[in-house]
Amino acid sequence: MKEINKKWEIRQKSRARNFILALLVLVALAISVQAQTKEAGVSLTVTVGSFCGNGIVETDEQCDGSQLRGKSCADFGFSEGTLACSSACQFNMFFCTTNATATTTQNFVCSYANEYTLHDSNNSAKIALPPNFYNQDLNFYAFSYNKSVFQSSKPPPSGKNFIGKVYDFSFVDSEGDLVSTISQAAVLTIAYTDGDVGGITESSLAPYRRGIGDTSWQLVSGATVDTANNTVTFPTANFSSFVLLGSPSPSCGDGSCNSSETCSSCSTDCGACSSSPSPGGGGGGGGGGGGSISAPTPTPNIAFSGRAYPKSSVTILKDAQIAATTVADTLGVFQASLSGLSAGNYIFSVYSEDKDGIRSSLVTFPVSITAGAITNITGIFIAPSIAVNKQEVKKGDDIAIFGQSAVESEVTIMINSDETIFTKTKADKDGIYLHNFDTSDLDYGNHMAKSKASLGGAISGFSVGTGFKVSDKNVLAVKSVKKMLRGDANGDGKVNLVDFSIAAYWYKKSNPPAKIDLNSDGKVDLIDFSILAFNWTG
Amino acid sequence: MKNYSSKFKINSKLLLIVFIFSFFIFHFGEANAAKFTLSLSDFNEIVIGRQFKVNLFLDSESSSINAVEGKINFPENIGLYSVSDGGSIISFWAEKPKIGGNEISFAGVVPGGYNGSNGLVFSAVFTPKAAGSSVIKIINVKALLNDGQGTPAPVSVSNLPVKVASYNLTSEKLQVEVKDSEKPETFSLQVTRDESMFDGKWFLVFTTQDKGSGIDRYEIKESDKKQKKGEWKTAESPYLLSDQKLYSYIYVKAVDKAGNERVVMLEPAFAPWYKRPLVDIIVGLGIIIVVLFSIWLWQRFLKKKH
Repeated sequence: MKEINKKWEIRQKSRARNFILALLVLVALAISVQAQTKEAGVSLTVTVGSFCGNGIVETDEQCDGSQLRGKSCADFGFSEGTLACSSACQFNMFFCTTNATATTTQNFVCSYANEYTLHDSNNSAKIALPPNFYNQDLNFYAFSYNKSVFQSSKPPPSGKNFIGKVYDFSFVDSEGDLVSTISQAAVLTIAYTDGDVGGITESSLAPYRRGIGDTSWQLVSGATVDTANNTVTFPTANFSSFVLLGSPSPSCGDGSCNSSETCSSCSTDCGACSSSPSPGGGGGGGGGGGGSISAPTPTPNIAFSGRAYPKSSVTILKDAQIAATTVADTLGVFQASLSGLSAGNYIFSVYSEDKDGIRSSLVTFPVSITAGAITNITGIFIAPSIAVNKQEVKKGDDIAIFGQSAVESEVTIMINSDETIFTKTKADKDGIYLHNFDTSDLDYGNHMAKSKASLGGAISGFSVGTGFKVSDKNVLAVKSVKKMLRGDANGDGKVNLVDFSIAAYWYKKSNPPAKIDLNSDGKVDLIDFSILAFNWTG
Repeated sequence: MKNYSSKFKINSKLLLIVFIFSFFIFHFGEANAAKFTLSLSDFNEIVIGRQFKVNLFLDSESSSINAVEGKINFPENIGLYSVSDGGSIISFWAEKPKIGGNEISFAGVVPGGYNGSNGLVFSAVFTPKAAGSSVIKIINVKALLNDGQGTPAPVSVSNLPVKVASYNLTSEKLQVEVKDSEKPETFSLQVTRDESMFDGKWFLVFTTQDKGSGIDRYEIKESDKKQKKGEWKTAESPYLLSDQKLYSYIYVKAVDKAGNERVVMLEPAFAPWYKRPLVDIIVGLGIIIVVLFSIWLWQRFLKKKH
């Protein structure tokens, strides 16, 4: 028996030796063929079909066609839906759905410090990342839920209650894989409201984490509870679900609504407070204000998607106030969604800022939100940004007209003059376009340049105009981002409610300050408001 | 980065053709004329004593309008009961629809512009008082293009003829119902100051919308404590703050026409000296020193005694 075993061992060793020898011969042959072909000046390339769209997931691809590497929406924190693969072979979560009340996707650049705050009604969660938090840029997926969502799937420990909203945070790398631990700890700040801690001993608040493999909530150490500002701040390098847990105060949470307890001081025992009409409300005679409370209305959602500039920030305004910001991917594609909106009519606007901080024109659309329905706004095409290198150009010299647009889009530049001139150029892989325009054909005087982009049959609107003058000398342009926006009365670089309020204060009053009298006609009237509204940033 | 050589010019003949074509379009087709329309919210007959609701709509006619102003003139036989901006396309009012005699004047803006055919500007509820035929008119109306210059758009209006009948109404509903159980939209508060207003003092700006019945009023409270209880007073934005040292918690309550409320709070920008952490530490250390010194004195006194 021993002899048989010994023979078998010898045979195995011999087979292994032969295999290694064969391998070495093959490598040697390959090197020799390569050397020979190089010497002969012949290049022999065998293409196996390494490109996006061949149905094989290769390097730098997260997916390809229907090949999703077994991933689903759930891998990215969504509850259901269909995970798709974009034409750039990147995961596309557009058809994934979630029962989160607020969600965002952010691209965090690893070489910078990053910060983002996810707002959900009066609650929020902020993440602050130090530079070099990981060895590559990461996509950050954040979901905020009502605590009832975790109550059954991830219940709190006995004697503890969820406080405020509950959160799922995750990072995904360029391969589309989940990164559960980052190299350097992030700082999370979870904000709660006074109502959230009704009936809770506020000093007992603490953050808890629950990873994918965990069966219970784990206390996160090193937290700071700021009861004055209603925040809990803590460091963490591990990402998963996060909640705040607190202990019910002795009298509250015992199951009975005592005389000293109210809905606001102890919602656990007395139930949630219902809004009631204030005494003497304006609608008193109108039959409204009866105080009867209807069942909670289903929360509608709206999703936006489109093209901006690669890696640019995209801002979404809801009724002229900033509602969300997101970052476009390397192709300029962006997606964002809003939740918790009441049914009704809204005006949504979208704008982007290019790599130099030059703002695009606003793309605005009125939308009627229906309760319980999801509204998808697709195909948003942000107009190119535009700037010139000279504010005054000597006739016959070139002026550089440049900006950023969607990747490899065709950019049409329009120069308003006595004769309108159109010229075309193409944006590069970073969306940057540049056209050196010969001013020989332009008359002396002021001119305006605008641009628009087209890509795959889609056409953007025109950009905001940028002016220049043709004269007998060259004067370089001031960098656009440092220019003061018209209507920015308080000089904070934004045109928003503060500026509107200053203008409204001077509406129809005599001797307004020049910074508000935007058309310099000695009064603040509708024209000044129109100019201010055109330059709105929110 | 390639410069395409596809530069071309529109020659003067082409421009002339475009001009003539545009002239005909503007004069005979009335294209790109923003249109304001008054319409009834239901088809019930207008009868003395029974309220009816009128909506003012804007059709931008494919242009983008970012500022509007004007007046609604109504006859004396119908009394104005209330005005609502619930569901309005107007984001900010320079002049919130307000009543003056037999007119409602308004002025507001839509940042980024409105491009649509059925944008509600505001609604008004009237109570017919006497029988007869009359017209609710839109007058002195303006709509400006979202072009950065405030260029006026050509405007047309569609007034609303009203015929009030005289019936004896018994059990019918006489009032327009306000159906709204949702709070106004959430909003933020911002404290700022500007040398051109309120003598450079600190003031508060805020605004929100209510998609149902519209905002009725705002109430404000400045308090040195974090509490919602206390006296609220009706206010408007911009609001000159009483506490110019900014030591107070600022609460603003938005109340809609149905009585739903949303309250938002802003933390104090600064803490008074006695609430600052450094002062707390110094006072604490002072107390400890005094206590230790007293103990030392007491022990010394006891030693001397013995």
